[in-house]
Amino acid sequence: MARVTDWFEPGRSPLGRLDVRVKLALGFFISVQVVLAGSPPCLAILALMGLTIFALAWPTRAQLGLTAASLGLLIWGTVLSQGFFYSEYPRTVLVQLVPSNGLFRDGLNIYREGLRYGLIQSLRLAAVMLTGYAICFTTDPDRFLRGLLAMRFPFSFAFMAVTAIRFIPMAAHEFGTVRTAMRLKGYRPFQLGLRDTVATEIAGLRPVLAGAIRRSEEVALSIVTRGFAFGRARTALHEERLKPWHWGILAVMGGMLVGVAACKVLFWLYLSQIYYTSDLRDLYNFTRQWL
Amino acid sequence: MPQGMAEAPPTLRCPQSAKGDTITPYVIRRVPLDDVAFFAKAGALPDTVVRFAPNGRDLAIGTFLGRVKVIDVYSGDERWNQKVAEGIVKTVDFSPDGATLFYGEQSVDGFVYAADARSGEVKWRFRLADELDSSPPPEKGDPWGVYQLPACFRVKALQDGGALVLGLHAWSGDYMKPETQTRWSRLYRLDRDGNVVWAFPKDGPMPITLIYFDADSAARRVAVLASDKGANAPADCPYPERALHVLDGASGVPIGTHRFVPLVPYFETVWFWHSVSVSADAQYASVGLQDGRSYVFDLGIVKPIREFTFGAPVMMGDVPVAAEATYTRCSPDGMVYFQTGNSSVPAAIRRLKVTAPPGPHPNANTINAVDAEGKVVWRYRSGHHYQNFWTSADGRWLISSVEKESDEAGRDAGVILFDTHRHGGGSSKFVYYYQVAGRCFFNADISPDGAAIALVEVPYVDPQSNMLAGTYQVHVVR
Repeated sequence: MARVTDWFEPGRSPLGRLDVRVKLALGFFISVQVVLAGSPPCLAILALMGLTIFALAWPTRAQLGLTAASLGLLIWGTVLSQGFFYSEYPRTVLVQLVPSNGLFRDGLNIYREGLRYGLIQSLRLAAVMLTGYAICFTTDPDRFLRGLLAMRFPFSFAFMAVTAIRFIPMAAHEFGTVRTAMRLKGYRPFQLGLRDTVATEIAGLRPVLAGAIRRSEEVALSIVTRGFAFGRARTALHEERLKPWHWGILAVMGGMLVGVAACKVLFWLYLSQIYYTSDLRDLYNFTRQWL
Repeated sequence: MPQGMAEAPPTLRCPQSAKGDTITPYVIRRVPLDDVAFFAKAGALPDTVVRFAPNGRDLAIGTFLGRVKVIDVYSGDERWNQKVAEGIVKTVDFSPDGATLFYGEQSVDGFVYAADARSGEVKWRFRLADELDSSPPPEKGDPWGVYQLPACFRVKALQDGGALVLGLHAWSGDYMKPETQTRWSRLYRLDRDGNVVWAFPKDGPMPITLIYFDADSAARRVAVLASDKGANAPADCPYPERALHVLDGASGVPIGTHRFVPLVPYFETVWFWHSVSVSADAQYASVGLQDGRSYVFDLGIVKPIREFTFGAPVMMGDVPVAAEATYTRCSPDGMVYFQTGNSSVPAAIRRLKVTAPPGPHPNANTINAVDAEGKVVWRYRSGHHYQNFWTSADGRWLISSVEKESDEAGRDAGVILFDTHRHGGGSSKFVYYYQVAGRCFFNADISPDGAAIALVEVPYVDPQSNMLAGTYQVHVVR
């Protein structure tokens, strides 16, 4: 049976066959666009792009489960928090949990407009989450390292980052073991109050941390004894080369990013009354309505 | 039967329709407009304007979201459709030959456009912000900020192919306190190429709100209403506020000015809205005031020759009750129509903590039709608030966009139609009432032949259900 941690199957899906640098650029593109975007249609398009990228990763059933659970939690949290704390007007009370009192002037309510706003904002996070998961599911650490090196990233940083990523599943597995042990010993969260729960949770991290330190020492010793040094010239079995259609994707993404950023900057200059020209009114309107 | 119109029922209104005939409103079509839910939820009515072309078939529609289009109301064909980006379409009017559509916007530029009525191609545009200054554009999601921008409040097409254009810009300060706002306004006469023939005031914009104007189609006389001074008005401002200015339409030179005196102690000021109308022969103008007084002016001497106190305060116990009378219309057949709105307690008295009238004003919510001798020849009241009047070219068909709100029935809005050539009083002239689900904007129109009526329905938040009621659309009704 496939596990969530069995996610590095680079050649299996269209996204997996993509150059790692293009994938990183995709992630960068989506994450910048969700910051620039503000309108519901634009956020919906970005979420749809995230969903498409995720679908191109051909996720396994376990990966789908993990993503669905994460996405559900994210949307639920965002929608509910906005439903509670929405401060714009008009707003319509759907449910009143606490009537008006000294602490809450308007009471503690869930607002319909807040839920809608939360749903729209969760599109922003969903786009990034889906893209991020897709990249993780389709990129093994070796290719990630090669990609970073091909982007002229300093080898020492790239190596450390990739090594750390490799040990994430192991750390997660270890954390799971610790929690199983805690449960077998009768631990139940909040059973003995908040303070005890926090103390126990922190104590539960100690063996994971100790294991991580021990492992890092072993890895360091291992690579040093094999004659590894950061400064020396290196050879690689597989060279990362961008194909023409990779360049095409990068050009499209770069163009869109520059275009959206330019629209935003011009719109900001217009709102701030720094620069305005009547000829750009259609662009201002497009930015206001769609971006 | 106009071409493109489906088989009509026997109750369809026609030129031969007479008193006693069964006439029911016939919906030619409904024209859906854009989504203005965000604005309606803020409790506002989105500005929307409609105007029939002289051929009686083409209808120009301008919307709050900057859409301007011309449709054939019978076939439903859209002649053209354009977007005024970052602005509201405030006013539209066809030239008398139907070849040009003038439309004015409220935007950072405050442009007035002259477009080919058949293709929509812009022939020229005139920028009001060059003289009236501009304001910061509204932030995203701010439904009110656009009203701080310079605007063309009215454009009236003239026989010579030019147009009269009223530009107004009021910004900063509190819009409920006019004296705190900076204000510039100016009236322009433009020729058929968009060049300024004259402007009033001659030396530049005045720091007073010129709120509305009217003129005959040849612009022999132009009557313009000036309301409050702005915060930028100097102490020795040469222009009076709360006044009617009458101009010579050929030169723009003022012929005379009439200052309205507030109706103390009930009112401390005088306020107008779309409150002036000039007769077709340019001899007279009708004016209505918010304090309930109405006038007929002789435009030659710029003096009121008749005064009516339709909605002026009457005492109910110790409380004065008034009904505003801010819409009026000089009909082409020589009749003058005045209206009164809902009963209210004058603002000066409201400060004494009396806010609700103890009873209705005896003349509230009434249409008064006055003939050339100043005699009220018929009246009509249905409990609605009548929002302006429009007539067919011969003056026979009269419509008013109406609204009423009651605790029992909720909100009730639509258009009311009269055949003014029928004998008898207002009830005899009444033809039908066409109701819509939403509210009605104070802009409607009837085609010159009287055959088609255009009415703007806008959505609103129903206080009972807290949901949006109505649709943003134009109803075209026969």
